[in-house]
Amino acid sequence: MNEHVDACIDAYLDAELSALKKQRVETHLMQCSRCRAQITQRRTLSILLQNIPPASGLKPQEQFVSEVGLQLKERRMPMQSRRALHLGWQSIPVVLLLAWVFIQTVSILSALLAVIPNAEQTLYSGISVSMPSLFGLPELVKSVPGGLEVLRQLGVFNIIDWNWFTSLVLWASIALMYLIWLASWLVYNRQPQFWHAARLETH
Amino acid sequence: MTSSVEDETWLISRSQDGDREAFGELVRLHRKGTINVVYRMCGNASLAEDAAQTAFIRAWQHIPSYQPRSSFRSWLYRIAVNAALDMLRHEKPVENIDDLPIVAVAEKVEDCLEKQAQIQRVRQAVLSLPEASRVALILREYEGLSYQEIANALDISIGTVMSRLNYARKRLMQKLSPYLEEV
Repeated sequence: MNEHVDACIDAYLDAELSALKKQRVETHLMQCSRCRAQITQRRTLSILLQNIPPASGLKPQEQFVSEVGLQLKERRMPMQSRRALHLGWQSIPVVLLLAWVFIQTVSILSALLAVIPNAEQTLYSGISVSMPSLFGLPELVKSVPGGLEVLRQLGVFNIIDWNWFTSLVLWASIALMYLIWLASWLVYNRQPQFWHAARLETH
Repeated sequence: MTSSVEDETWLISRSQDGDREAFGELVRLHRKGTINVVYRMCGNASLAEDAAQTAFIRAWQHIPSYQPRSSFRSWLYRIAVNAALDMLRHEKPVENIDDLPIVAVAEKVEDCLEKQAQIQRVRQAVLSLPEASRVALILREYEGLSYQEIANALDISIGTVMSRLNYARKRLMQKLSPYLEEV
């Protein structure tokens, strides 16, 4: 490594270089008096800076702390409420994902049933005779004469009529809701706060 | 070390829940560092104390939104630096005679004066740096923040931290070249 290490000097002295780069710089320093002189000057500068004493004549610590304490205002929202809100907010994508899985399952089931002849009839009789727990139908409903017929009228078995357009609309709705959530989350996280350092002038 | 970090995490959590006592402990922990950062920025102890108090009050208001992605210290210094800049824009900093350190009597008067002159010169050189590079230099040289912590505190990239530090040090080396050669 014959090139001078001017660009790495600060990072080297501030211990911010990787082990490999540090070794390269040290190897170079053994051969280059110019770079060694640079390092010495930087170290001297650091010593000069450290010679400036810290602030003196300050208020006693407890006075400072109590003065700050007197000026603290009440919070608008208790932290518990904020946490609950935060948890609710974080659970939105999980709910959307579950909804998506549900729609996917129903679509696949619907497609399968569509290719089976008399599928609706089979499902209906299957529920009433040999699949008592399908869809979690309460035993009570099934024990009532005509109970399954009532459920049918209510559209519980409309699953079979699920077509691709319904799925598409639901997928699009979920995707839209997720995008809105994602955009809000990004805006929330990138929101410039009042102490934003961008106000600092660049040199 | 781990225990003090855990303690601080607990204090932050309590403060987020509105515990003023816990926040008071955080103020005690960071009072000195915060005042010194501001003091190095403006060169006036009284102004530095006022800005530090303002910074702690703002920190209390915003601590519920603090997320431990960056260190609490760098988050706090970010607030302190901006509080200091706000104050500096409203007030012209005046060098406080009380800020001059009392040097041991045993030292020779001539040496003492020379040392004082050197300190003043270095201090002036630091204060003459542009705000952006001055604050990066202060956070690194006096508070020992890593490049990543400085980047978090100033909301800039590590590359920008490096260029600001490089700029500040080069400027100081030009201004303080007689002292550098002496040493």
